[in-house]
Formats: sequence, C-alpha cells, structure tokens
Amino acid sequence: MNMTRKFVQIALTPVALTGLVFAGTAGTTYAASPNVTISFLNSKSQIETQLQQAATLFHKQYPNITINVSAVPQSGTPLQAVQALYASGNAPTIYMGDPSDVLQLTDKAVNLTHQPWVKDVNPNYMAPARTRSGQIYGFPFAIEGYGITYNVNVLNKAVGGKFNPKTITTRLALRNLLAKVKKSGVAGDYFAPMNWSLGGHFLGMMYADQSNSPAKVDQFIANLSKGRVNLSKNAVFNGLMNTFDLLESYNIQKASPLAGQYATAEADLATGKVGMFFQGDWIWPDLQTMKLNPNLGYLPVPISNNPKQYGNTQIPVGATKFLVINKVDNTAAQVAAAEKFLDWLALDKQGQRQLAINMSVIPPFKNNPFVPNNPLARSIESYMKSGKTSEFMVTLPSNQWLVNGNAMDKYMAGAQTRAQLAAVITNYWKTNKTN
Amino acid sequence: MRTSRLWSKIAKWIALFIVFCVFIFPLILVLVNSLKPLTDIILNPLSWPTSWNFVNYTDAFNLMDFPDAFLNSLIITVLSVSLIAIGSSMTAYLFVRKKSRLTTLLFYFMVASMLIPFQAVMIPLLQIYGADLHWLNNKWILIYMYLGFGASLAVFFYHGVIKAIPIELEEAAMIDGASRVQTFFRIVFPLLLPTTVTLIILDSLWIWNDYLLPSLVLQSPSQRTLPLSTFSFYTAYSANFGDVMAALVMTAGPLLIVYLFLQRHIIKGIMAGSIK
Amino acid sequence: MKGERGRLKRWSIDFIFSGPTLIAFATVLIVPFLYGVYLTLTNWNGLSNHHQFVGIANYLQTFQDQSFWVSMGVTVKYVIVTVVLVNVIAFALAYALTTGVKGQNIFRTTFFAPSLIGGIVLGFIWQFIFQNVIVYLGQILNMPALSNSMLATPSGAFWSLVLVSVWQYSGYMMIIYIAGLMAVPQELVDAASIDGANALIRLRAIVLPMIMPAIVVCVFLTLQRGFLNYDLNLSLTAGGPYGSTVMVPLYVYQQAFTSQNFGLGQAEAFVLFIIVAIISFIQVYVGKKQEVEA
Repeated sequence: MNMTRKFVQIALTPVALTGLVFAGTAGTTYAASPNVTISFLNSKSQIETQLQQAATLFHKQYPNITINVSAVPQSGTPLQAVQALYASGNAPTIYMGDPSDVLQLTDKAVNLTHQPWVKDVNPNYMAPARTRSGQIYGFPFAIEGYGITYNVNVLNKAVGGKFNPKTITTRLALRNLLAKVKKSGVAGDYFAPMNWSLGGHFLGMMYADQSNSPAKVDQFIANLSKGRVNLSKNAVFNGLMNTFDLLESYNIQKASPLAGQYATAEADLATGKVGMFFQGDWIWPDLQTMKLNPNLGYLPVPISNNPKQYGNTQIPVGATKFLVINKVDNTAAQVAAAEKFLDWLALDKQGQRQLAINMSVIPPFKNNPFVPNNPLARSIESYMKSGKTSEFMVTLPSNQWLVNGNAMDKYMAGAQTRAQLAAVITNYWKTNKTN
Repeated sequence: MRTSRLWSKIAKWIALFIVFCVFIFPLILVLVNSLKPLTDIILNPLSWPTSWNFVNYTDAFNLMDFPDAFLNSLIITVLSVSLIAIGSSMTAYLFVRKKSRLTTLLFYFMVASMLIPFQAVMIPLLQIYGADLHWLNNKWILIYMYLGFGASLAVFFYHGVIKAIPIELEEAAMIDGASRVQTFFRIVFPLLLPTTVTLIILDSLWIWNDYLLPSLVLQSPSQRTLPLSTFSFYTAYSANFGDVMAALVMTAGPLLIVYLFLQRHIIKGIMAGSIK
Repeated sequence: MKGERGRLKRWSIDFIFSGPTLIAFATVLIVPFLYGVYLTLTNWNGLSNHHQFVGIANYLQTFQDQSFWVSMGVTVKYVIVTVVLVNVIAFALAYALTTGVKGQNIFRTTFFAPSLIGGIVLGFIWQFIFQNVIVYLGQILNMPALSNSMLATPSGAFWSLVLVSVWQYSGYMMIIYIAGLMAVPQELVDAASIDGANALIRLRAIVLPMIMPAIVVCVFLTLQRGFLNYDLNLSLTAGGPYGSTVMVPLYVYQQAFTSQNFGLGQAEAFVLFIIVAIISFIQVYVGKKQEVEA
C-alpha cells in the first residue's frame, strides 16, 4: 500500500508545481480560533430540511459551532458515499449510517462508550453499535418500525364501527378484514414491489419471527449459511409467504404487481383509496410534503392462524440509523464539537424536541419526554410500551435486500414458484461472502 | 417532377413533425407540471395548472441558493470547456502533423481511455488527490480534472477534422515567418470553428449537468454547482416532483439559450469557411 | 551543438502543444486507473485499512460469476439496439434538417433539447411518464395495453431503456452529423446531380464518405455511452424488474459497493473495459481507414 502511494506521488510530481498554485488559493488554513465548523453527512433525506433547522438552532445555542449538513448522493448507498469521502481524506465529522455500517468503521470512528447519553438508551437498540468487547461506536439516531399500515377511517367504515387492531392476531382475521374492506368498495391493500421493502423488511420477518430469542435467530442464520436449513419446509417461511399471497390477492395492483410504486402507495393509503399498505413509519414526512394528514395505525403481519404465535401480535422495531463521529480527517476540536451536538440531541430539551417533534423521529432515549406528533409513531410507541415488538433485522449482510428482494419480486410477478424462491434464498446464504 | 418534389417535401415535413411531437411531449409535461402542486401532479399528471403557480420555482430558487450555484456552475463550465478546447485542439494538431509511432500510440491510448468506466477510477482518484495530496475541495482542481477527463473525446474530435485541412495553408504562413504556435492560432484554429462549437455544446452539457465528480470533489456548501444543489429535492425513495421539475427548468434553461446562440454561430462559421 | 539546440527547441514547442493536456490526462485518468488495476489484485473491501494481495483470484471469480455474464448479455443487446437506432435516427434527422426545411431551427432545437437534461433526473422524469402519465392515459382511454406500466415486465423495462436512450442521444448525435454534413461542399453534390446521380447514389457515393469522421465519432460515442450507461439504468429501472435489466456498470457498482467486494467489482469493471476497448478499437480502426485524407 505504501509503495503504491509512493509510486503515485512520484508519478504525479509534474503536476505538483501547479498544485502548489492551487493550494495557495484554496485557503483552507485558518488561524487558530475557537470557532469550529463540522460536517454532517445525512442519509435520511426525508428530514434534510428539518436537520438543517436543528443545526441552525444548535448554532444559536453554541455560536462557536457551525454544522454543515449535506446529503448522501442518491446514486448510491450511504456507506458508498462515506467510503468516497474517506478515500478523499475528507471524512465528515458526523456520519449518519445504516446499522450494519457502524462496526465496519471502528478503526476510523470515535469510541463513544463513555458518553453521557449511553445510559439512557435501551440496550436492545444499541446492539448494532456495540463490539464484542462492549465498546460503543454509534449514536442511535432513530427508532423505526414497520408492519401493515392501515387507514383508520377506511377500516372503521369497513367494520361498521370502531376498528380495534387487537382483533387481528391471525391470518384468517386479516383475510376477513381485507374482505370487508373490499366489500366496502375500497381495494384491500397496496402491496408495493420495491426490492428494499420486500427483501429487507418483509423477508426480514422470516428471520426475526423464527424465535423470540435473538440468539436463536442468529443461530438460524448461521444454519442457513451452513446450508442446514430446508427453507421450503420451514413453518415461518411458509406462513409468511402465505400471508404474502393473501396481501397480493387483495393488492390494488394485482393485475401488474411490479408496476406498483412507493409514492402512489403512500398517496393511496393516505387518501383512502386502499385500506392497508405494508410499510414503515418513514412514509410520514412524505405525506406531509404532499399536504396529507390521514389517521393511520399499525397491524402486525400474522404468519399463522394461531393467535399465540410469536410474530402475530408483534411488529418489528429497531434503531435504523446511527451517528458515527470520525476521528480520521477531523481535529480534536471538531470531534469535541460533534460530541457536544450528540449530547444536545440526547440530553438538551431543545435538542430532544428537535429530534422527536421537528424531525418526527421516535427517539431511542428513555429520557426524551417528547412523542412525535404523528399517528404512525404513536402506534409504534404503543406497541413498544406493551412489549409487543420483534427484532428489526438491521444488520443483515448489505446485499441481502438486493438479491433476495429481487427474488421476492420475481415471485410476486409469478415468474417463479415458492420452491424456487426458497432455493434462491438458501443459495444466497450459502454463497454469500460478506456475511 | 415538380409536384412529386412538393409532395416529398410535405411528407418529410410531416414525418419531422411527428418526431417533433414525440420529442417535445416530455418537455412540455415537465414545464406544465412544474407549475402544479405535488398532490395534483401525482393525482393527475396530465391536467393543466389550475392557476399560474410559481411556488415551486420560488421554493427551488431559495432551496438551491440559485445565484451562488449558478455562478459556480458558470465558472467551472466556462473555464473547463475553454481549456479542453484549446488544449485538445493543439494536442490533436501535434498528433496529426507530427505523425509518428509515439503520437499514433498516444492517440489510440486516449481513444481507449474513453471507455474506462468512471467507477473504476473513482476511489483511486479520490485517494490520490484527497488523502495523499489534499488538493480536493476547490474548483480549480475540478477544472483540472475535467481537462483530464475531457481531453480524449476532444482530441478524437479534432483529429479527424485536422487531417482534412490542407497543409499548404500553414506552409504559406510559416514562410511568412510565423511561429508554429502563431500559425496554429491564426490559420488552423479558426478553421476548426464548427468542431469547436460542437465540442463546446457537448462538453458544456456534460460539465453543467455532471453530478458525481463535483459531488466528490467539492465538499463545502459554498462551492456547490447547480446539480449538487438541486439534489436535495429528491431521494432514492420518493421525489418532490414539483420542485424537481422547477429546478430542472431553471438548470436546463440557460443551456438552451446558449445553444440557440451558438447554433447561429455554427452556421455563420461554416458560411465564412465555405466562401474562401 | 546547433542540432542539439534545435531538437531541444522542437521538443519544447511540442510540449507547449500537447504537454499540459497529456499531463492532465495521465494524472487524472491513467494513474488512478493503474492504481485501480492494482486493487483488482487485492481483497480490499473498499473501506478497511488493510487488504491482502490475492493475485488473479478476482479474475477467476469474474469468469465464474454467472450474474455478471448475464448482465453482460443484457448490455450487449442494449448496445446493439441503441447504436443502430440512435445513429439511423440521428442521421436521418440531420439529413432532413440540412436541406432548408421550413422551421429547421425549431426542429433542431427541439430534437437537441433532451440532451440538456442530465442523467439521474432524466430517469426520474421518464419513470414518472411510464408509471404515471402513460398508465393514466391508458385508464382514461380504456386501453388495457397502456394501463399497466411498461417497467413492470422485463421486456417492457428493456425497451423503455432503449426508448429513453434514443430520445436522449438522437439529438446529440444529430448535432455532430449536422456539423459533418455542413462541411460537405455543395458544389460536389450539385455536380453529381447534374451528372444524373439520384438522391440515393449521391448519399452513398458522396455524402457518406465525406462525413466518415462524424460517423466514426457518433458510432463510437453511442457504443461508449451504451456500454457505460449507469445513471439512466439506475434511475429508470434500478435493474428491475427482479434484476432483469441490470447492465454491467450497475452490476459492477453493486458488486463493489452493495456487496462490498471491491476488488471483484474493480476486476469486473476492468474486464468490461477490455471488452469495450476491443470492440471500439476495431470500429475506430475500420472507420478511420475510410476517412478521406487531405
């Protein structure tokens, strides 16, 4: 590596002179001053504006710290964006990454184990940021959950009274509900085909619902990798795929399921053109952009007709974004400023309010008294309060959603059978290197 | 004979007009929808705006920080394109007039380099100019990179045209005592005008609209170009189509004006060239 | 002594002509490319501070990677179709628009206008057209063929990519053809038509050979853009439905960044480069042979 760098530098000497001229005009060196500017790479683009507002507010409280928020290019993943920045020697002070990114960055990131906010986080949500030796490298930024989102007004009308989500604990109950919605003149659901949704979230429940013990879920995945699981005989897989077929049979896009679109599904759910939509609470900021303000709630995705089955009354909830502070390419003052900002988000009333109310994010912190002012977040909070949550599989290998999501799409289009789908998933785990 | 000519003329015109409609439909759609609120766009993309609503434009203008971004884009595009045109025409001239094994090899080398996928050089490029040399985050290095990336295509363009220019024209000037550089700029460069104008149009399009390279090189918000600042309106999952379309009109508009202006000059340049 | 100085002077003039450009070219493109080739011999994941030298393992894996060759097949099909369609349409438009048709400038400007819109946004706009506008039209006109998005089937998505590429590049190539056609001396064409050559013969015997440089450039550019198409592929179909329209640049990108096999992704990019380089070299070499030299 060093040899290459040397070679590269020698090869570049002809331009070095010109480079000096450029460097002179770049003006990146400042005289020592207490003012610090830090950069924040945001990968949750729905809240870009709100995050900038929070940065401005923080600057008012701490005038010597300026935060430049920038967004991840939409032509790639957050990790790829930060990878480019590491390569360019320009790592952002704060990087908002996906859960599976955090532990890959331990040699570049600041150890956050002793930060004051750590004690306020529910340890379950911290898992993706904790090394085996218990060191913490990420700040859990947002809790998100997903399931069958439903339009309260549509369902009330369909059942002829006040709809009670607790009554839906089996696939049969869900089937009856869908039938009632259809009878009331509204399409049952919108089952949208995005591969990140079907592969990352829908199929995610296949792993999570194997057991209520995370250790057993990990064991199941390890067995998959060793080729020891016969997926087409697996009860959870088949149960989940039966529900998949059910949702598909009432899908407003049934004639051409892959033509379904995320934004249309959001609008259709919100305007009551469909009763349900399998999705997470991240749809809320989009609905606000569309100036829609519907009353919505969550149903779990039942995988059997046994109301006691694990998964039939739970919805997956987890920390889906983490903030990482980079020690590489950043000064000690910048790191300190970034830590200050994290403290502010977690501990300061103003920051807490920004996170929960303005950014509409469910805060992972027990001490945050604010509840996001939107029905989806409130629904998720009620599941959390009653302990009815399952694991949101946030640390699956980075290409799991892509490979298996495409296979789910192919199944949805009727271009392959369930046995073929099971074979693709099994093969994915057997051959995947990134695991 | 005359009527059949007339008919073929009319048929040609009708065919052109059909293609014209196909080409312009998406553009009109963008223009019309840029004047509508988002819900109307999603619910009925074909409806006319109910009122003249420039909210998307004012939103986009403010969010993009339009004046600054416009200026950055302008500086980068003008300087890069000028450097590419001058540097590459001179290089191509040398390749043609001093034909040797070396220059032929270099020429094919440059042609081949156009086929390198950008992703294949992206990370190494950043490591060298960023982590090793710390030259990133200013427009000048970006302009230098555009010269490096744009040179091959431009040399390729000029090469074919310079080959067709009779050497006698230059010899006359050389006899009159002009140096080679003077000869090039007085005699050859003006003859390349149509190619230069075409190149200016094509390279301006590329650089003006380029997203990936500036997003990697320019990191501070004050340096952002138009595509970089447009970007915050749309995400991988959903798009605020109204703002996007307004931003698109504002980004592409200046280019269209420049194109219209240059097109007139292409024709003039050719006319001047053919009179000689 | 004198000869030595003369040679030095000639060298320095040569350097003035091509030095800065070639240095920029080498330092921006070639050096990083060579460094990238070196990375194909490692197992780097694109992120870690460490990597090992693994020799040609990534290349062996490239040849065994079935999905890579499937996407290569899609790419080749796409390139063949777009190269033919774009060039035929672009040339026809250019030819028609250099004969003094009424409204010539408006036509030219409109045909060229799609080139003004850059990569990613373009894909989003067309996605919007295929998924919303055409479907909406199909519903109100009660035409079932249109009421389902073309993007939902593998062949529909493929032809959508072709259609948008033709829309985007025809005007661009038209400009190059127009520049070429305008350089054809009118006297030559006139002379031929006095000699009794009809339009088709004039086209084949005079016009085509004279604009060979433009043809070489346009075919080359459409080949290059076809093989390296990334933005449109990502933003219009994202490789869907179910991965059936993933072309090589997108595939390579996913390999390097989504699957985090950086070395393998680089190796596959390099294989793509070699294949395209061979095809294009043949094309340019053959084309250049036909050019009229002064």
